[in-house]
Amino acid sequence: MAPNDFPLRKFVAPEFIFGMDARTLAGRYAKNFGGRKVLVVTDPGVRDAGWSSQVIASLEESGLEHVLFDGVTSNPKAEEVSTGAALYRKEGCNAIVAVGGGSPMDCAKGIGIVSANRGEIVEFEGVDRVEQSIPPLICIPTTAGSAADVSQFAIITDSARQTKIAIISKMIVPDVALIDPVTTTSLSRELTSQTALDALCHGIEAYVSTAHSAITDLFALQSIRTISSNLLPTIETPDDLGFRGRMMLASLEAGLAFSNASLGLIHAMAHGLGGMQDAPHGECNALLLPLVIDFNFPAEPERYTRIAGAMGISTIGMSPDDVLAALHSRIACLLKESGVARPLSLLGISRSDIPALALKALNDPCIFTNPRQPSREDIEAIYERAL
Amino acid sequence: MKGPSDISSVWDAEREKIIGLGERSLRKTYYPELQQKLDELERFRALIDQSNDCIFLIHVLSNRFIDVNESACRQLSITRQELLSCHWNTIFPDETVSRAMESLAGGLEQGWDRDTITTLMCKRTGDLLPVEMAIRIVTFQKDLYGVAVVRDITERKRAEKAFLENSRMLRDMELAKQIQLSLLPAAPPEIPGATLAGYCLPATHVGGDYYHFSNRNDGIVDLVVADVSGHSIGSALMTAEARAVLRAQLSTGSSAGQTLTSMNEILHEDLSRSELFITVFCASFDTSSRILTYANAGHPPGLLFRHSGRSCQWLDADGLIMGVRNAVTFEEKQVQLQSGDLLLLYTDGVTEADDGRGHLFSNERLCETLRSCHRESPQTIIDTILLRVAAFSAAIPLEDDVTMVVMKVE
Repeated sequence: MAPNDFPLRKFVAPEFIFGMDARTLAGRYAKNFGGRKVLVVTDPGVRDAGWSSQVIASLEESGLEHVLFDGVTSNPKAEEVSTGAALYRKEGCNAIVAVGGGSPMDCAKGIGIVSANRGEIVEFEGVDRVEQSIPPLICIPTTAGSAADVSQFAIITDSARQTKIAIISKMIVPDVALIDPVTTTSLSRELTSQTALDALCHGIEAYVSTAHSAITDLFALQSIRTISSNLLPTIETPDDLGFRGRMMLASLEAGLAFSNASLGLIHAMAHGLGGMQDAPHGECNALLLPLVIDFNFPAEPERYTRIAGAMGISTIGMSPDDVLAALHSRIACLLKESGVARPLSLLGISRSDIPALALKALNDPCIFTNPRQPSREDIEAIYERAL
Repeated sequence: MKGPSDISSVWDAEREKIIGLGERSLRKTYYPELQQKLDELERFRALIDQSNDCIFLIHVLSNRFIDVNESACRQLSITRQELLSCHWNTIFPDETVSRAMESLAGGLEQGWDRDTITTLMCKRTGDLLPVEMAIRIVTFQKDLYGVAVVRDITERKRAEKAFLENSRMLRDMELAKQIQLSLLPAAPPEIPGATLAGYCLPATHVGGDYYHFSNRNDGIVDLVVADVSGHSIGSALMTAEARAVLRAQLSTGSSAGQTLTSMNEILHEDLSRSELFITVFCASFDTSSRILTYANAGHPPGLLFRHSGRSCQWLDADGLIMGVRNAVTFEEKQVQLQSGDLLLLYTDGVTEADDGRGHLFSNERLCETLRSCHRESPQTIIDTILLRVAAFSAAIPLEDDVTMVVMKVE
């Protein structure tokens, strides 16, 4: 191999425990991290499903006090971070446990950042802007998709600017992820599909990212493979812990891949949509996936061919055009079967929004690792197609 | 507008950071912050250790010392380990411990969180130190602790005692001063053909100066000024004794010379024993003949201001200071006074008043002063001399007692 095959790459992952009932270890970990009073961050859906109360019971068993903050909404807002941080300070908390999907986990990271560094969460937008270590953070994911429990990303909606900001820092990688497939059994069909397609996009974008490495490639391809073959059966038999477990594992693998290799144009464009219309993140990604593949394919035909292979397409002897066509129909099929990916117009986006969306996408940190540099016109054209 | 190559370089730089190759790309670590906090704690510890006060941290529930500062170990002559393992009964009296424990246990419920106890602290050597213990209740992580700051008040006690003694002595001295002033003639006697005035101010509370004048039935007026060495209580006592002897002698009708001879004999033993001396100028004025008879026991000569010639004449006679030898004969002299003549008897506090630059008020200035005010009454003459002396010595307080007797012949 040539020296060029070994550019510098870093791989950061938190300690994680994967398996049935991992959530019940929350109390032990919080205590071992020196926790005295724990802020439990969750959202109303997760609370109603009973997962947060089980985690709280575990904290109490370990003799720890807690305060519940369940005011997180999807696409978590900067104000929610401020409210949570104020509660954290007022109650004298010294550790955080997040229970839920990407929203509570990203909000919990934001609360940690503001608690340790002061200031407003929007001041930390960008890469490596977090100076002080955040308090001990334990993440218990209840969706198989966001992988915020292993990632260095936190995406927060700045309502004032109607946009999502990305905070990227190794400082906000959680101290431990307790990944328990059982928690995903309460997910609706809709959320199961949306989060799974989010994970698929993580795998695909990480694999073609210009920051990919041999290690992230392993996780990325494996996640694509698993999601492709397990998504539909999971939707059909939602209580099957075997399928749920495999989807959770795939989400973890995709998370380890994208947290280190970062993402690309799909996420850069989806963040603007979520910020503007509060549209479900997974659905925005799914909608943009085939369109961005069309744009990126010429830059990495070989990598996309391997992705096609991981999705179960026999690519031997195929021309690149054939591969692209096959990939398209495979994804279209997944989207159709899972019932996700309404056109943008149905998500409340109109043609007049496109120039502003394109500008936001051009400045989103996720775009910097896309395999092909798009112009503003390129991005506007992709949004046009998605209407 | 950025060109494509600009965009590429921005992308490259951002990608490097995202990969984790940026300067500030590091995983969460509490160690630098911990290290900083430890350094701060160490500095703070030094601060606590350097305090002169002994500081004890007591865990209320177990009633044991949790921490002590270096000052406590030093002042108790005991190691930190020993101190942490011993009960506080070994250091403080039982009643102090029970009061402190009551404060710590019940204080918060009763709505206060501090107490101050004056007590003793027992060193390992058995020595007892008077101390003041300020005790305060604090809460750390829901556990109650008492912080006792113990201050050695030996010095304060000593100062308080010294202050008390001083003020008692000051009170006594003030009393002595009043008594001594009451031994002076209350007012000059009214005599035909002459007016008199007297003045005495001790430099400190009590002094060794004394003056006397008395009117005998036979038209003779006695005028005496005496100065016992020193300004101490001893001088004052000797002054009182000399006064009694003097008055007794004068009452027998003895002449000036005889009076001094007898005084010297009677006082000699006491003077020698106390190592004190007395100088005395003794005069008697015959109001009908206007003859002044005088004798001197080592005192500054009397000053006679002649109205006729506006001149000063020093009245001196041979005689030794009292307290040197037992049997002494004092020369007795006489002088005829005329109308308008002034007699001034004084102590060396007047003529030896210092201006701070080595100059004394001197006989010459005294004479000059008399010349300027000889027409005034005796009391006004005394006041004028006092003003001149005060102006001469300016800010310097007088070091010696000042005494004067003035007689003006009419």
